Amino acid sequence: MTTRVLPDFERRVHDALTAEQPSLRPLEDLITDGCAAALHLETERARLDRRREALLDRMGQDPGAAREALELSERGREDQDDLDRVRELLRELMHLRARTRLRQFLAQS
Amino acid sequence: MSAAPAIRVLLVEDHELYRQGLDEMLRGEGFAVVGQAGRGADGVALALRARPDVVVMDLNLPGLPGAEATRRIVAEAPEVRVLVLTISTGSVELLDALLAGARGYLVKGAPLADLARGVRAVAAGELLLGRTVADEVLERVRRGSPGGARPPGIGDLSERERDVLRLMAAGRDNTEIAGELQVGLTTVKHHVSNVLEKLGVENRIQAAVAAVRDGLV
Repeated sequence: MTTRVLPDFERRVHDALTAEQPSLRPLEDLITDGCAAALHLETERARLDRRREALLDRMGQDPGAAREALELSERGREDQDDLDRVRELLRELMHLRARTRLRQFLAQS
Repeated sequence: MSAAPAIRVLLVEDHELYRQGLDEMLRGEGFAVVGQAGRGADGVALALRARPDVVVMDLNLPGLPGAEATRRIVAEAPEVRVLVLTISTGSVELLDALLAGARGYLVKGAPLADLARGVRAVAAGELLLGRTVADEVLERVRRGSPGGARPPGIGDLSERERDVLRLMAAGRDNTEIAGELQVGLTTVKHHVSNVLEKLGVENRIQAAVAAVRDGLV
């Protein structure tokens, strides 16, 4: 996630935030992209947590289990950092969406 | 002791990445995803064929909108519970879907645990309605009801009818209500009919919204 989706999403959010007059539909698509990224990260983190718990149960018998559990913890932390960043960007997009809707409403009335 | 069967879920969402994310998340949480559709009409056809426990339905779909797809599913297969997906709660489309019979809504950006809990709750017969949205739905019902200068409300119901409404809002069907109140099925049907008439609403979901709005549940 860190090396692929997040930088691309950050760039697209930046483009949306700096656009002169963003349109609602592309903005909502971008928000849904962010929601999908967040969902993916959370699902991956949950999977890592389950795997790590299984390894912790085996630590007494398997010398490699502790090392792998540590690696999974590190990956889980990276996913959490990415997730926090995606949620932060989503909040900004939601504010932009609210402003865009208001602008459209005022333009129509 | 055997495990409870997995809750069967159908996904209707045109955004492929999000749909795949939901699929992955739900499977990881132990749900059985029985199908996916990216268009409203396909979602209706699949729902009527597969009869899942829950349809997770996006609102903004190409072709047939989510609210209309919801109405068709609920009309043909009332046992199938529809849970709406929305970006935010302030949309006309969300109110349309709830009035069409959706059992509640989930906000797309909600944490995984909330999404999974929401699907489980609706599968168990609960309603997922925030107070503000419930108010908006009822306002729409009220504006749509002919001539009523005074808004219909819980105050018009007898004590027994309130008991019935409370159980309706908790997602109980008529047989379950009869069991809990220890009365006959015909009596329950009579009470339900009175509740709908006195509240000026057309169906159980709208009655449940009134119950939430007036603080009965």
